[in-house]
Amino acid sequence: MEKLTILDRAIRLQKVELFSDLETEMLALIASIAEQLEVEVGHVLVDHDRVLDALYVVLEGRIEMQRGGRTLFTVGPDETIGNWALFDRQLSVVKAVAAEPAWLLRIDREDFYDLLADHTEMTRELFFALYKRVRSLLAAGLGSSAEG
Amino acid sequence: MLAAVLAKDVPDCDRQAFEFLSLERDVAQRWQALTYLGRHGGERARQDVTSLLAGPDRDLAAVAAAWLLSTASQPDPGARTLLARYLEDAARGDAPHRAAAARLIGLAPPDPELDAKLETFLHDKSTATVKAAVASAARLHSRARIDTLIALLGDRRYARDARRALAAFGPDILERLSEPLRDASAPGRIQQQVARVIGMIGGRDASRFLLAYLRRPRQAARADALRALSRMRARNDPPRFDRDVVLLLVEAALKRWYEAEYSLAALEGGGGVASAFLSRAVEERRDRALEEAFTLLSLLYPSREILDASSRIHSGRPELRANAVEFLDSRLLGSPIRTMLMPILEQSNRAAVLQAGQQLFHLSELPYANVMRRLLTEPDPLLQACACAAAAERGRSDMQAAVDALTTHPEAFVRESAQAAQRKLQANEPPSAWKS
Repeated sequence: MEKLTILDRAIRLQKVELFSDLETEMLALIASIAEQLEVEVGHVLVDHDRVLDALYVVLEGRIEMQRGGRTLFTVGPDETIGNWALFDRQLSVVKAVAAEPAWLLRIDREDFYDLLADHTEMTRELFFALYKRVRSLLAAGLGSSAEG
Repeated sequence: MLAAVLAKDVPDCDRQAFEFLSLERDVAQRWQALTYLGRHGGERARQDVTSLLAGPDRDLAAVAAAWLLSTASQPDPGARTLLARYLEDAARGDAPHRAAAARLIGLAPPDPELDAKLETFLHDKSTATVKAAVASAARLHSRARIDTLIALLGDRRYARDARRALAAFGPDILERLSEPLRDASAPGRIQQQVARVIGMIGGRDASRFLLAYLRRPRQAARADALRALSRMRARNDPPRFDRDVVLLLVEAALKRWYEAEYSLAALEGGGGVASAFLSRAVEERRDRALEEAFTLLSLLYPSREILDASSRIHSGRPELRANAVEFLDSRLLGSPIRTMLMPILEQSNRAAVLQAGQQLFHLSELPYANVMRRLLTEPDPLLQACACAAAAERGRSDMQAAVDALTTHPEAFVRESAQAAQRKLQANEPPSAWKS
């Protein structure tokens, strides 16, 4: 895979649910801190019981999410690993292992906070996006409990 | 505990306050104890504090000297010499001493020689020292420090303190403060912060500077200036905004809306993800122009009503939207703005909207190539970068010259996109990274 420009990365980031409502300008800013990585088969991206300090977006390839040696699910192109890593310091409950050679974008939490500190308008938009996500999760939860 | 007692001004604690001076190391806490002694201790306390000048604790002696100077009815050369010497030594000392010295300058009465030392502390490598120096500059209203304080607005670590310090100067510095807004080469970050400070100062003159800024094309701090104006409007005593200027700005914002709509019409159809991203960016600018028009209208009309109407229009609920359109229709009756705004809000089909744009602003439909060339030369880095990618994605070799011109753009983001597009256009193949 060729090295993506910042704009290419921004285009890919708009598919990430957390960022999907952000303006293109903000996507470009996040893209400017996103690092493009290549990993080999078997590479452990995130280990069980370790702090996840970055959000990963899969560009190419597949990453298996495992627990107790069992594959729970697979993450593919434009899907993310560590959706909440930017806002949470909990230990990871799963292990993420490359099932095939893969390309990813890595957004480091500290770089992300530096970016937010410089762009308060982005903080505001992210709050809105997070609230929207929490509300939809709550609605889904209420819906399923009503069905149940 | 004692600090709380002193802060509450509980009487008969002179002895404890005096002892507190030796126990405490922090300048602010010591100052609080001295202030207490000044209020309750009378001449006896003053003599006790004077005795500290000859004491072994140099830091305490310096605080005492600053306090004696600030409360003396006549010049006290002894205390001043001691303080000046302390500041001299502290400037060469460790970070806590430099921070204490920077703080003391603000506590002592204004003195040009001591004030000049602040400049050194404002450039100190220790964050605490710079922050203390900023607070002192604000306290002393030291105009000689304004340039440095404006420069500190560009540093994230000090922007908040520098904003407060500059706002404390009040309207007298508006002219000087607005210089970065008039200087197109001033860093965007400083322009943004300056707009906020002007908003904090408030008043009619402040609003004039912000409105004048908005009249210039392509400003980095457009959103900040608008926010500052909105905050001024939300205060208990909002200034009277210059109606004619505000209406001109609303008209300009609505014209930008129509122009963006014309661009979107030309960009529609064909292309892949890069073209879609470009359209999304243009759409956002169009929406921002409408939001800006509402913000500006809220300066002239009851702001709550206008902002509520704006929220209802974007609510996605047809009944609320209809209600808001009806409200604005009657609210703006007789205003030329109504004619410009209604075709946008009535959500007619695109042809009707474009026709309105033609009648109102003499705009005309342009072919794709012309719109793309305009976007490529527009002084908007994101649009330029997106246009490069879209041109390459569509294999538009007729855009090659415009794309080539951007390969030496001062912004790396644009340069990189132009270089990638140049390579794709030369190879005449769609970039693999954009295949979804």
